[in-house]
Amino acid sequence: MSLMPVMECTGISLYRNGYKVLDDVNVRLSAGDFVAMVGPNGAGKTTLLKVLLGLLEADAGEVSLFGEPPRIGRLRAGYVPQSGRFDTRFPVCVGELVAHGTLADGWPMWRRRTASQEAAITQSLEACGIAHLSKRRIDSLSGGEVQRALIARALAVGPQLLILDEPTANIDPSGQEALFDLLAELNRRMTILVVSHDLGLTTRYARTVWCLNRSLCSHQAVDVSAETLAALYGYPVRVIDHRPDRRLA
Amino acid sequence: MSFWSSLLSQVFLQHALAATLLASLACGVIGSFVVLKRIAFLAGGIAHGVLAGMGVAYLLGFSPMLGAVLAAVTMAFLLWRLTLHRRHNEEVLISALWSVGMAAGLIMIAKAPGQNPDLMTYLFGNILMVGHEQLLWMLCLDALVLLVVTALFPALTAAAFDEEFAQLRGIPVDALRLLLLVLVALTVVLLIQVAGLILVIALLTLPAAMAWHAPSVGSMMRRAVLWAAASGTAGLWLAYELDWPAGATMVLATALLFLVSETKARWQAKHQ
Repeated sequence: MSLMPVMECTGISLYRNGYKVLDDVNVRLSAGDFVAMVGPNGAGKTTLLKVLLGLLEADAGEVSLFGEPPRIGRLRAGYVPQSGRFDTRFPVCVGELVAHGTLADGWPMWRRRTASQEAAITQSLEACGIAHLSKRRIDSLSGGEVQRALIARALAVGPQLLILDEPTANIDPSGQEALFDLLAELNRRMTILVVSHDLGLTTRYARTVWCLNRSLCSHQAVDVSAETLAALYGYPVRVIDHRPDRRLA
Repeated sequence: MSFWSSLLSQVFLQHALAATLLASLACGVIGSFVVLKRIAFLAGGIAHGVLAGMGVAYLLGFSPMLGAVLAAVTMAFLLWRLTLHRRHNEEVLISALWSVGMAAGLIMIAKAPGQNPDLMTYLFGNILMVGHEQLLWMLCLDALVLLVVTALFPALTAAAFDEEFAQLRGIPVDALRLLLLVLVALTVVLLIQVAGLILVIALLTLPAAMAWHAPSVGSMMRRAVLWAAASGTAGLWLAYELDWPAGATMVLATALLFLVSETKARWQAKHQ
C-alpha cells in the first residue's frame, strides 16, 4: 500500500449565510479503506463531500485528492449522489446513463464511443448485477435498481475511490444489505467513502467511521460505541446488528 | 379554393409551410432541452426581451431581425452571467429582463423616426408575410442549431441529466449552459417569425412535452420535430380554411394535440 493518502483534509472550514457548516475538519483517507460517514441531518455530510470533490470551495483549509487539487484528482474518483435529486422521468435508459461515466475530459466530444468505453460500460453493468436492465428506461426501475445504475455510472469512470451519498435512502432493508455487500465486494479493488444513516450496517461493513457534526472525529469501526453515537446525535442511539446469527428466532 | 390546391399555386402559402417546417426542426431539438432542463420561463423571458432589440433596430435603422438576434443573445448571456454562482433569484431576474425588455422596446419603437411598424406582427407573428430573406435566416439558424447539438450531443445530454456529475468528468458545464441558452435564444428568434414573441413559448414546449415518453433524448427530439411539423401544418391548414390568424391557430392546434396525447398517456398509465 502506498504511503500517500487517497485524500487528505487539513483545517477545512466553510460558512454558509454566516453559519459555520464545517469547523476545522482534519482527516485522511488511506488507500483501500472502507469509510462510513455518519452524522445527524444538517451535520454537513454532503457539503464535506462536495468540498472533497472540488464542487464547493472551502473558506479555509486544504484538500488534496490523490496528492493533487480536487479539480484534477477528482477525475480518478467515482461519485454516486443522492438519488432523490434526479428527475427520473428523464428519457434515458440504464445503458446510456452508465455511458455518462465514460465521457472524456474536456472537448471535443463528437467522437464515437471507443471499444474500451463500451467495455467499461458492460463491465460496470455486470459488476452491479444490472446488465439485464440496460435497455430499460430509468423511470421503470425500483429504488434499489436506480441506485445500482448510479453506482454503475460511477464505476464506468474507472475510479480508484468511490464516494456515495446516502445510497440506501430509498431502499428496503434487504436491498440495503445487498447494496453494502456490493460495496464490500468493490472495496477489494477501490477505496470506499459512504455517507449513511444506517448505523448498524455501517459499523458492520466499514473499517473506519467518521462522525461528523460540523467537526469530524474518525474512529476504528470496532470502537464506535453507543456513547460515541449518542454524543454525535445528541440523544441515545441504539445500534441494530443485522447479522443473521444475532437475530431473534 | 382549398388549402391543398392553393398550396400548389400560391407562393405565400408555400413560404408559410416552408417556414413552419423549418421552425419545427429547431423547435423539436431545442424544445426538448427546454422541457428537460425546465427552463421554459427563461425561454419566455428571452422571447419577450427581444422586443428591445427590435426597438433599437428601428431607432438606428437596421434590420429588425438582426436586432432580435443581438438582443436574444445578449439576454442569454446576461441571464447566464447573473445566475452563474447564485441561482436562487433566477425567477426574479428573468421577470425583470422580460418586462424591462418589452418596455424598452415599446418606447423605442414609439419614438423611432418615420412610420411606426406594425407591432402586432412582432407580438403575434405573421407567417403569411414570410419572404425569401426570412426563410434563408431560418435555414441558417436551423443549420447552426443542428450542427452544434449533433457535435456536442453526449455532453449536452449528460449535463442536462446531472450537471454535477458531468462537471466531475471534466466537462465544462458552465460553458455548455451558456451555449444552450444562446441556442434557445436563436430558436426563439426563429420561431418569432412563425408565431410572434408572445406565442413562441407554446411551440417551444408543447411538441417536446408530447415526446416525453420516448426511450432516449435523441428519439424525444425526433418525435418532437414530427409533432411540431404535424401540428404546425394542421394549424396553417385550419387558419387558411377558417380565415383565422395563422400563428394563434397553430398554437391552438398544438395545444389540442398536446391535450389529446396527455389524456391518452394518463389513460394508459391508469389502465396498465
